[in-house]
Amino acid sequence: MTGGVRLEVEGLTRYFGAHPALEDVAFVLEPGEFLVVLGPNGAGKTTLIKTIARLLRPSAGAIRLDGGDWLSASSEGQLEVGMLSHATYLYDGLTAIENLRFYATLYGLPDSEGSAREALRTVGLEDLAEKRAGAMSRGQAQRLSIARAVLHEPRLLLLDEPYAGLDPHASRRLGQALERLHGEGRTIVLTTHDLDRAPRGADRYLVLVEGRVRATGSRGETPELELRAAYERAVARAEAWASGRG
Amino acid sequence: MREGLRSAWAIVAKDLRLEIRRVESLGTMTVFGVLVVVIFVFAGDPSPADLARLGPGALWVAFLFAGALGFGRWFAQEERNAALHGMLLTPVDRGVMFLGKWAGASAFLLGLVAVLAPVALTLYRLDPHGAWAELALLFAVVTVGYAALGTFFAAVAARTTAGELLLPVLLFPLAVPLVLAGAEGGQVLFEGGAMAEYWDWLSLAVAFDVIFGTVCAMGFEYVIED
Repeated sequence: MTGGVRLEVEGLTRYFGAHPALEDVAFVLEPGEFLVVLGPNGAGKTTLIKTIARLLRPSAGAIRLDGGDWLSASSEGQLEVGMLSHATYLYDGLTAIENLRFYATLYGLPDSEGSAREALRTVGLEDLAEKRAGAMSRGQAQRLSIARAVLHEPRLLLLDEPYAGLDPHASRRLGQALERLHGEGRTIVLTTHDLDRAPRGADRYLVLVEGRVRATGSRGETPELELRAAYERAVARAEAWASGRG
Repeated sequence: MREGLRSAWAIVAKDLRLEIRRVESLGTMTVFGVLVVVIFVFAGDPSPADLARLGPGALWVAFLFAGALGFGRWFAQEERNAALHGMLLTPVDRGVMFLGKWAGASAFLLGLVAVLAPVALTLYRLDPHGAWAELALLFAVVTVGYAALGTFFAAVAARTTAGELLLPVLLFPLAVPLVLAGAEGGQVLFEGGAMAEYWDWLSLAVAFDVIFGTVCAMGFEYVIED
């Protein structure tokens, strides 16, 4: 059991020039909770994930991991975070095992070879260890990317549109992998623009439109139709407000 | 410290492995560099004395241009699949990342020099009068300095829309002191001049490496982050 972190996001704001990509975003996740962030394209989902991962600095606001100030924590803190995106973060010219060995070394894992092999086995790619990432199908590359993201056993997993470009079979496999990772007690934040891809196993949902939180609720207790209605209402309200402003 | 060196070495090994597998990059750079060296020989029908005078400068101009060609792609591999983000997610210090990229670029460019230098020495009939070690040292110091600049500005260029065009514009003006040290220091050796003069030029190149290596390592963090 890996366990999860308590994640607190408070007043998170990020500007790109004069344009606010995130405005006053706030939520709290208890250890092991799974949050799905829903929003149309340009809602600020990627900015939110990148800011939590410390790939972007926020313009204002705070992020706390287990109560500690995450934004000023040492770089060693990155061991707590794993991130999966629609981009695989893999080197096409390296084989699956070389990619994982490289990342295992950067994460400072003592047995990079062993950790890489174990991660490959976990995602069922042990037979493709010597295959170059660039020669893999989208689904295989995404599974390799999952192995990369969890190689160092992070307690917080950030998933930015992980289903993008996957066929139904690969999507199903990814869904199963997410269930397993959630079952290991990790705290998970997943973004998607597609309501059909909002995992039913998630604990909570949050609707983000034009950088603002428009709705939140319990994923398990919200029927599918109600969730869809809440999402569409939030998008319509934001669009009406934007056209009124224009 | 040890962990940092281990990470830097992993980056060097990864970069060299990728470059060796993508043969066209090194091959194109080398052919381009050799062509520049050869073109100088045929330009203006130079006499043997002209060739000896032109040689060191021509060698470094060829090196500069061919190197810039390689740098353009040096960082592109980090942008493909957003692999740079994968590195930034790890606990590795940004300065260590620069060190790894710099060392890899240096090794790559030393390979280029190892091909260009014999061609230039032969075509321009340059003879260092037995000072082969001094010549090799000069080549190494200039190469390492150019690799620092190239690594830094390749990262800048990779994050802009007009990267390929921007890179030489940023790179060449700042590389002038290095080319000067390389060409003038080499000329001293080829003419059998006073070694004190050679050491002055070498010192200039070493100072350049230290200053720009440090500045680029410190500034790298701001260049690679969104």
